[in-house]
Amino acid sequence: MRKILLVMKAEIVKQQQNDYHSYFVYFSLVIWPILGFLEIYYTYKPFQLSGFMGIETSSDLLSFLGTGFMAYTCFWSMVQNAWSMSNQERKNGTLEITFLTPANRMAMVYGKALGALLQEVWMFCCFCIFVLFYTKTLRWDNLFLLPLFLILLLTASTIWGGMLNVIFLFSRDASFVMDLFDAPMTLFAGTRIPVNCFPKWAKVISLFFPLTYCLNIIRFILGIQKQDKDLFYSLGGLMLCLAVMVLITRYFIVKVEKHNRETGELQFY
Amino acid sequence: MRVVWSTYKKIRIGILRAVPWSFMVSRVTTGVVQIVFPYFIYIYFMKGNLNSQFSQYTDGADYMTYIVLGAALNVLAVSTLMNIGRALITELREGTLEMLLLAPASRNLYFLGCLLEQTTRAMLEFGTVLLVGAFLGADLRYLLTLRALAAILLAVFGFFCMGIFLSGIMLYTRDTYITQNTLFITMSLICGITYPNQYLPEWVQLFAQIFPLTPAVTLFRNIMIGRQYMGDNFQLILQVLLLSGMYLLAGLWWNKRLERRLIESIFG
Repeated sequence: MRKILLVMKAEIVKQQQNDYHSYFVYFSLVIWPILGFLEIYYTYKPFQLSGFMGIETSSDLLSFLGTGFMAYTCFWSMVQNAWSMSNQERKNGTLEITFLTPANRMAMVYGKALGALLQEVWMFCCFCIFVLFYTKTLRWDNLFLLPLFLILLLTASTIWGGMLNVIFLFSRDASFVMDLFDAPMTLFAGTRIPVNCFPKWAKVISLFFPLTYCLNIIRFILGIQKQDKDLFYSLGGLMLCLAVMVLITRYFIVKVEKHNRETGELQFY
Repeated sequence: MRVVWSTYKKIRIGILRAVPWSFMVSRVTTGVVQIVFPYFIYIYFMKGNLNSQFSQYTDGADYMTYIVLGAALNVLAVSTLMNIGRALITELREGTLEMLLLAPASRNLYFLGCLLEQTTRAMLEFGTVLLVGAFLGADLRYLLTLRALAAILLAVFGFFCMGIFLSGIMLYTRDTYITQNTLFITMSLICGITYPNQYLPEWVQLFAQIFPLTPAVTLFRNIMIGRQYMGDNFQLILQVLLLSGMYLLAGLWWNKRLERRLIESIFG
């Protein structure tokens, strides 16, 4: 266990030293997401809020979007990170070195994901938490909910990120995966528009994104959308998704190492 | 004219033989996403429940048409700004800037060549977004009129002039990623693309007036939705022209100064 934690810590420190070398990162980590958040908020402005789906006032809307953006940023930063990691580490040659060490592979993959998550999203998450306080979704009397949903979010996105990391190990240029996840995940996982008002076909698509369940639970915990009976479906769905993702990670990591050993292409492809 | 034409050919060949398709795909995707989100909100979530301010701000425009026109013109703006703004720094990165600076060809004609080449491509992106928009229910009957075409050309001219200024910023900072993304995100937030910018605070509205996109998109909508003539929008046209002139002069002046410095600092 100690060894596993050591590997994870090493990955986290490595990432921080690799990525934080200029102030410009703050643009992509805070300023752009905040501007994007405002844009969506104002996109809702031409509409008459009617209380449908539990969104009645603009502060309801803000807290709905706040949770959506926060969870989305966590999941999306995993996609981006897996992509850039697979690219950078190949080019730098560190990928090969890490695979020559006896370190636990799963710990390595999850360490990568967690490291990226911690350093990439904390600033924007602070903004979202501020929004939640501002809209009085989070108050002093329910502050204990905050660690609860942060842990939920961190766990879910780490496992998601681990799976993506392994997928990107197969190929250097899997940027189509980025296209696959960006807009569809934003649209169908309910980050900006409640999924419940969608037609059937869209709801079916939304079931494939772990983010959907995660968001449902977070919003239930914070009392943004009231739908008691759905909670068990969401919890069950999230558990199932997480289990499947861990299994996929486990299965592929053995396979990808073997594949790369045979073809000797860890560095180049 | 030879310079314009050879620049056109050079860039076009480069594009056809090497990568940059991914840029086009991502710009079209951005445009389409900018339509699809409001569409989902409008149709499925809010079920067409617009508030009275919207029709007051837009003179009773149809929501989908309003969004689609905005998103399409935004794509045109982004691609023009990107292609013109990045032209010189791309030359720098590819290692051909020195030759370009030493050649006797005029820099203005070089930029005109870039404009000619990129407009034909940008129209493709513009058209794709409009097509998707028409499919989602936008009313584009007035697109094929002379005045709509004039409005589009005026807009492209405005973006071109701003692009020349942008090129100076990019060469000066040697950065494309941060500059372009910050600019484009800001533009789509404040220029009234997916909502009338009257909803924004007043000082933001004032600030939005320095981008040619703001008057250009209003003009385009007035013609396409309000069925007005170019002559009815004298003020907007004047604003686009004034802004263009300012950006153009500032950009040309700055580029000239930068060139001297560049020759010493990079190639010296």
